[in-house]
Amino acid sequence: MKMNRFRISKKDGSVIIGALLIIAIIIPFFIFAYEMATLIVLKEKAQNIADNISLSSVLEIDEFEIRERNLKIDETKAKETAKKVFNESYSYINKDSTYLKIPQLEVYILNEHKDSLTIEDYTVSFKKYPILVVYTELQLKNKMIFFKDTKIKNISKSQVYSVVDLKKMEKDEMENITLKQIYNDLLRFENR
Amino acid sequence: MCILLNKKGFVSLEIILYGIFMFLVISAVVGVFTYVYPTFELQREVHLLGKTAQANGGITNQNLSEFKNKVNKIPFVKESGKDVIIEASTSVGNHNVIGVNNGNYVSKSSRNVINIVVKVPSNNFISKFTNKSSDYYIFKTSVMSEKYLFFYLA
Repeated sequence: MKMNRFRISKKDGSVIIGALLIIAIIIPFFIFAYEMATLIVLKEKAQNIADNISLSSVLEIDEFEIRERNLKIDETKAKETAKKVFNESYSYINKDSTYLKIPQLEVYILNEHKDSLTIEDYTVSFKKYPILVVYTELQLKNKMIFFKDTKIKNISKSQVYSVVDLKKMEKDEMENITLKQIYNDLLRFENR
Repeated sequence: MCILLNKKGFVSLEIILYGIFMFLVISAVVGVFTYVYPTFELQREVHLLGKTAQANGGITNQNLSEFKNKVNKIPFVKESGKDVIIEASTSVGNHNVIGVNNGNYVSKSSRNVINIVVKVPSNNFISKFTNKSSDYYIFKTSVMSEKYLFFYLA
């Protein structure tokens, strides 16, 4: 009888242990899941923005060079366009933003045959046609619990190519054709 | 009565941990389908709208109605009973670029950025997170027109 009473009193408080265990596991999991979902959505948004920037900038063809039947991207105009689209896309982020620091943009253009580039273990080299690479970096301020100092990095590559061999076209033809016809009929733009 | 007085029904620690694990898995799956997947779907649609706006120098009436039809099929949008709001304008001059056609659009040579803002109604019947929270989910995309041409959008 004494043994039974001792055993019953040992079972007091077992629910509290179970409840504390549940709280200690569930609440951190929910916080982790919420932060993870936020980061996944932010990464997708930032990738879409990088794609928009690269597709908008790759359209800036060097008009002088194309008349000489050389397909090249105008570096100055492309970087200017990239900066414009970037500023409009991230216009809601400034120094006083609660969660995000001011994002960074880098634009790289590969116009020549031996051009090559490596960003974050990702290598791009010129193969046949000019390539434009956009790299954006978004850093979170230390407001998260599980993901401190997290950087969201995005790379977007766009290429312009001609549907006909420009070198085989007549020089007079290239000088007289309108820019509209060049863009619509001779060139194609792709984002990878 | 015997069941209520039965003190033998103690649950082991293993059952508690297994129950926690199953609860976490189920809540993660529910979370993905209620938040992450619809967000991705809407972001993808807005991104596609941006791409067509880039090709046309703005949003045509046909693209607008196709987009609204697609988004209105999403269950929570249908149940909210409100319409999707789409605003599109240029960064310089704030010209409206909805309803463009071959004679009237934003040209590439204007070097104007097209900003598209899509407001999707939320079927929020619980409460707002803060007083400043909107009744709409807001998506934004910015593109530069690739339609090369003569005259600028006045």
